[in-house]
Amino acid sequence: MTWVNAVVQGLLLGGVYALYACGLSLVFGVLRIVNLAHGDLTVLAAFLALVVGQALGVHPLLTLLVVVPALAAAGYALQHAVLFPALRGGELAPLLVTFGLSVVLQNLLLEAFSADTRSLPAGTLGTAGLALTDLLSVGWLAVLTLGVAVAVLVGLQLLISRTAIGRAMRATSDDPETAQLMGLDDRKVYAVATAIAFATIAVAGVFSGMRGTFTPTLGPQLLIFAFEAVIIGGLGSLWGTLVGGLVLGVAQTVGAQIQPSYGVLAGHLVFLAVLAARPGGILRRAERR
Amino acid sequence: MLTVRGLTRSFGAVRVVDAVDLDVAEGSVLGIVGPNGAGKTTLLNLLDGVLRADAGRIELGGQDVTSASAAARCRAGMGRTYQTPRPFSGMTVFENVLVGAVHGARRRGGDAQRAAYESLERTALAAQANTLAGDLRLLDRKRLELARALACRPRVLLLDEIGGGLTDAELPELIGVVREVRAAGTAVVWIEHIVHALAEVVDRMLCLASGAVLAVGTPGAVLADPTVREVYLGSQVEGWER
Repeated sequence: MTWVNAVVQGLLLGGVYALYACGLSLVFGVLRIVNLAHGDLTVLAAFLALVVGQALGVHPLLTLLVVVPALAAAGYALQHAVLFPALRGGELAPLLVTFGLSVVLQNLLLEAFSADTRSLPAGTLGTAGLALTDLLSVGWLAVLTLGVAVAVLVGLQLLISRTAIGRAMRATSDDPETAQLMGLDDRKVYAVATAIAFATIAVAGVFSGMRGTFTPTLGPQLLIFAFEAVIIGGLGSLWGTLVGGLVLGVAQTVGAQIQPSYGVLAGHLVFLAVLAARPGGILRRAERR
Repeated sequence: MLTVRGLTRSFGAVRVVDAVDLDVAEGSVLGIVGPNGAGKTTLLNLLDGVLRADAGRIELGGQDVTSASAAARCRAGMGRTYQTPRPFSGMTVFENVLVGAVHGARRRGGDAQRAAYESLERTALAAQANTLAGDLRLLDRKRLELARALACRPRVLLLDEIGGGLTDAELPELIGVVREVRAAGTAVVWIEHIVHALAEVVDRMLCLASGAVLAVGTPGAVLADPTVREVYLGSQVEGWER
């Protein structure tokens, strides 16, 4: 039963990782930019939710109404004003810009909030659970997080495959010059894509802030987990990101079941094994160039 | 419909397009010929906004678009096909065309879908609507270039060697589409090396050499011009008459 429990908890943990990874996957898939500030932005979203929640005295879930638009606006502005011009400087330039942003964000958060460990008060949602059997129970918050992760990824997939803005993103990602000849303003398309990615970062920040704790310097660790989820599933595939998150979560909890300190290590090992056996990821998208 | 004055562009010390003037009226076709390296494709790139001119002025339907972006020019009515087709290969044929109908022609919903389907029918691609564009053979890729440009509802259509690489049997169909486009009132600028195909359709012909206009006039007059014969036609001179 402990092994079944480990797998179930792993799937639920995987929901968090999949949620972390949505924005990274989208930004990479559409813009071909590796956003090294991804984890720090997730932490920023959690701190923003903390401040808004305290100021207004509301539940963290309600702060999403503020945090999601705020991060989406920040994403649009960042892409339009900083990343797009940087893209002209070659592939390395946006990488350096996001690395710089990562350093700046960590230090600003340290300055503003000190190095204390925080978490978002989820109230009864955070403690209530559902007993599946006598030995196996799952937390409502964990189930909700997994549900939200699936909903966000399904939503993104539908957005990209079915809507005009999704087609605009795919066309611009495929061939920006030709896309312009079809009337698409690539700067605007990229900015909208970044705004959507940052909105998912906001959701990830709030849910991970409720499920666990965070500090201003947690970002790089979140980035690594998000990266692993994206790569395990397959670059450029949103379904793959979901699968990658779940695989990583299960690997970590099963590893921790063997020996408590092995959790993160087991995740890294599975990541390496996938890289070695299927470098394109578990769900490789055939039509990608 | 399209008026160009003194269009000039240099790459380094080389003047690739040199003070080109051209006028294309609504519902007429201007053919552009010239030796390789004459600056024909660069001229199209300047017209559609992929490249910016160093000097000169471009007017589209009376509107000055010289400093407009490629996307803005497309929305103003400038359509373009590439010599080597560049489909969005991960998208279906229909989706490719829909991008033009939605973003180029600013259509919405069902209206955009109908317009996209209509462009596919005009170019005989409707049966392939759900094929991935990357899986198409050359003739269909050429058709898709044309269908995408048409879906943008162009007032001026720029064709870059749309007939290149096609067999003599495949060519007439594309020429037929160009004729229909002209009949619908669109102005067409068509670069082509297959001179006999061009001479069948165009109202006026322009010969470009070293970036400058060497001759312009009716196809017969331009092809009979001694300088044009010397610079461009050479041994091809019998070819166009068949």
